[in-house]
Amino acid sequence: MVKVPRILLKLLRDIWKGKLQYGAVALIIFLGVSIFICCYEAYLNLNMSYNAFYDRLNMADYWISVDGISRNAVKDMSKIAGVEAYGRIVNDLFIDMGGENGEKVSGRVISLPENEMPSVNMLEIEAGNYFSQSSGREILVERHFADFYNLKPGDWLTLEHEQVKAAYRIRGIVMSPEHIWVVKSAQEPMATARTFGVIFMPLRSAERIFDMEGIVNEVMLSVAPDVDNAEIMGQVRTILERNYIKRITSKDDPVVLQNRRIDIVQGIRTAYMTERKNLPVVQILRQDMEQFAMLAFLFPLLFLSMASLTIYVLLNRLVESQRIQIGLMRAMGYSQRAVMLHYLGFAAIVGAIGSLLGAVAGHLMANGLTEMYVSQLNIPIIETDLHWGAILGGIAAGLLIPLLAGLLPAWSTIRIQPAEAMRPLAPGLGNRYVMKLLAFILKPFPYFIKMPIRNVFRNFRRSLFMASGIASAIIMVLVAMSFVDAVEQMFTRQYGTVQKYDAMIHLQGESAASNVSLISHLDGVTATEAVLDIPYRICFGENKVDTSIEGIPENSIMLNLITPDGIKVDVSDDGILLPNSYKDKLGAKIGDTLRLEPLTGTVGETDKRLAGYIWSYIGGRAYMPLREVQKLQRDFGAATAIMANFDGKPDAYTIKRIYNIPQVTSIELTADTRKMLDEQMGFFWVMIGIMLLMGTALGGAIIFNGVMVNVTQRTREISTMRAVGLGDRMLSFMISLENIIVAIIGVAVGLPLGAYISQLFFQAMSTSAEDIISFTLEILPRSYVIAATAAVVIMLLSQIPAIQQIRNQNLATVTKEWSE
Amino acid sequence: MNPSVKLEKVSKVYRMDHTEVAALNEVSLEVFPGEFIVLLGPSGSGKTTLLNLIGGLDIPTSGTVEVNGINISKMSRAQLTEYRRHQIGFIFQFFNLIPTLNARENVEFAAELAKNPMTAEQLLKQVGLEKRMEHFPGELSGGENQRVAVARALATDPPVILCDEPTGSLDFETGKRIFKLLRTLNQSSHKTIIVVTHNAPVGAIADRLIRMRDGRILQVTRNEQPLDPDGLEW
Repeated sequence: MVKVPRILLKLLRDIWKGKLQYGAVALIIFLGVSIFICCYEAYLNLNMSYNAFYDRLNMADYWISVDGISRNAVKDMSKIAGVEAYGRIVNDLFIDMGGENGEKVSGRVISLPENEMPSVNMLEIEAGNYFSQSSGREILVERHFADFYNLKPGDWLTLEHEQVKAAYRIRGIVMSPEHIWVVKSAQEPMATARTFGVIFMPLRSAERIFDMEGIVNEVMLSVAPDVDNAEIMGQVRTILERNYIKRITSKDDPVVLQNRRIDIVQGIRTAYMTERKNLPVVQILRQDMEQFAMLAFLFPLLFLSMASLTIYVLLNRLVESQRIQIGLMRAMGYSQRAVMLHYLGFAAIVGAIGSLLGAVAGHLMANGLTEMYVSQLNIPIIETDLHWGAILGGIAAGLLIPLLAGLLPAWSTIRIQPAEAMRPLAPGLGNRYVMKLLAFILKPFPYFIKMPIRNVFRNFRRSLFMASGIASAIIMVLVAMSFVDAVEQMFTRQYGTVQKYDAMIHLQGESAASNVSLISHLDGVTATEAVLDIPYRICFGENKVDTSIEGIPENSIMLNLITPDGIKVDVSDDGILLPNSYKDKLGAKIGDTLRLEPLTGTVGETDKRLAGYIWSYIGGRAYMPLREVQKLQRDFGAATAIMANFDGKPDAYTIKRIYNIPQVTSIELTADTRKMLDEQMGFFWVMIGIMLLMGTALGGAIIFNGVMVNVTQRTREISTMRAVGLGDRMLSFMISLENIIVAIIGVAVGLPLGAYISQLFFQAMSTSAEDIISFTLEILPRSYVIAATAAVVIMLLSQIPAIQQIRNQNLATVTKEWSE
Repeated sequence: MNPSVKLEKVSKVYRMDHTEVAALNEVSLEVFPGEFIVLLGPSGSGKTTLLNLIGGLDIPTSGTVEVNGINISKMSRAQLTEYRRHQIGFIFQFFNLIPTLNARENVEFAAELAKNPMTAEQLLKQVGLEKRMEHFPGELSGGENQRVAVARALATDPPVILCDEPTGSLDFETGKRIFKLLRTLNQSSHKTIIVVTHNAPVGAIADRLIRMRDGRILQVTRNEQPLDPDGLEW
């Protein structure tokens, strides 16, 4: 049998003796490492799953949108070595959902080959089949839309284009790699399935409906990995030029308005190319995953910092309490290095246990989290792997951080002189002046009040450690609560303050603003306001942001725009209002002049003064008075939507009448959007719940250790008090009072620090979330109260084992034992 | 015969804030191999300081300490560690056993440092604890704990054993048994043993009794016929 070196045996036995305390630290490390590995592996797994899904369905690498190009040109592109090209028709129409309210929603039709799946952007058939041989009146429906309206193969759907309606039979329900998340456009990233659906139909049907015989308006290219993209693009450009498309623009290379005008005069046609990475759906998923990655770093960082603090406190306490043993080891001939390594071993073992268990749990949780997330998006492929980089990184952090924290206390053993160490340490007296001042102030108080207060200051470093534990717990709870508050505030602000309309009625066509008065006169409609939304690029110096400018009436009662501080602000001639999330991107100050360039059409270019920044949560739009946007578009009757308020809940008849207006494309009810968002938040609340649970566990572990250190360090002193006649209840009161005073210090430090760290979290999160969701930190007073109360309650509960230990002490032994 | 321990004009001054306390004042002493020395004196007389200097736990402010011909006053920390490991065995008043290790393991804790260690079993048998080897310090009596400490001190087979009030926390009978054990070791293994005590009768069992006061050696008495520890009375 291998004999364990006795110094190692001592180490293991000492850890076993303090198993609760070391276990608590191991738990913190376990949590930190497992969260890191779980989130980071989930991030990598999700990346792999998406890519596998994209690969399986051969998702295109490039999308080229044109007003029209012959199918022969697409064939030419297919002939380029290493390129698979597929041309299709993509166009919008209405889907008449019928029902008692005659509901109509926006539909996007995408054409497919009649007899076989396309080679690029293939579909995954969830239910039913691909088109049959006689595919004239068949369609496939994208699953989000089908799920919302409970559509099944065999059902009929009425499509309407230019006031011509035709019914189509649903042949299958499908998933498409382009629609993992349904995005209507970059400006409308959160399209609801209620108001927007994607439909696939045979090419011939699409040609007929949209009158595009022999031509397509979107070409997708899938490029082999080993080919030179620049060379391929050169060949694609030549083919496009041969087809009178002389200019290719993209997100990174847009055509300036002036050139657009010249192009129109010269009859130059333009193609817009989108790389896969710039596709809105890909961007949204990437941003979502980046938040995972962000969580993977931020939370473990917080946990491991707390773990290092606790290790530091514990080892300091250990070194203090084992002074004589250190002296003995040195006297016996153990070298300084051996003694130092011995005490560093505590940190190493605790770190190793926490990290290794954390790695196993983290890896298992990562697979679960990946499955949960992937199944929420209904992606049929789940790719999980053992990501050694993440696992080893997590273990290394879980080992190194406690070791670094333990270095200082372990190093302090070097300073301990063997001869000195043999003498028991005199009890700390604290700062002489502070103690004198306290003695003066506390003179009128009884001893059971005096002593706990004096104890706090007698060994202030010890008290500070304890206070830092409480502050840590507060930080964790406050960070979690700040997310709860942010979401709640976000919804309350959006739906309670800003968005005062019951429905957004989407319109299309010329002079759509005339519908405002038409709709306002309908029974049950109490108010209406027109909206004109135009895609724009806003530039300030070198900085630019692509967004849309929404024109709304001055003194709008439907949209109460507010500043980030919550002050109401109106659109006016004074200038343009920008969402606060653009502040850093543009770097413009109020009063600066911005360049506004429309992303479509040939009119509307202007310079505008920045009038202010406004609060916004999802997406980001700029706001100007409706008249001004109409003026820029040189169309005073233009409108893209109408905001409407109803007298109570709108009845089916009113909705039907609105749908019957020819220019109405869809109606988005605020109540439905809110409900859908609430449903989508389910996953978020689970994450917050886990955060709170872990925060509480972390706080509990730290405070428990703090209290144990605080009490056990003074076992003899407290037992002596018991020996001289102090009752258990009185002692418990004194210990509690001392801990509560320390807790107050912890609360005083923890609350502002927690708020500051929450702010750092939000900054990091909103940087990664970019345009999609803009979180604003707003911690409600109740969260401060919850965090502080939770920390104090955890503290009071944590002291129970310590008090119990004191009560169970054998007085005779403890007061006599000086040898330890 | 060359002295085993030789102190020449050794002083030790402790500085506390702005005051200096002289714990030892130009002490000179020679201890010969196999001698059993008792250092006697009241609290603060400098006897523990003297022991610490011989043991290499502390270094003198002035003067030289030679052990087995090696001047340890100028040794580096590492050299002192090596010196303590092989030349000195310590026995303390409060035993200073590792509470989380049992008797055998406590002895092995020291034995692992030796080049040619004796086995813990042999040593514990030597001190009469062969049946209590697996017991932890908390399960042993004071006397038994001190006997474990004696076995531990012998584990590295050091030529010099330093005992600081070895019976200070023991009852009379147990204390006598410890002195008997030490005397036996001294005679059978020819170990140099220096015992610090403030218990005057103990001086009778020493080969030489050295009385100390205020950091100086007051008197050195040689016992031609040292008392058998069984005959001790206090």
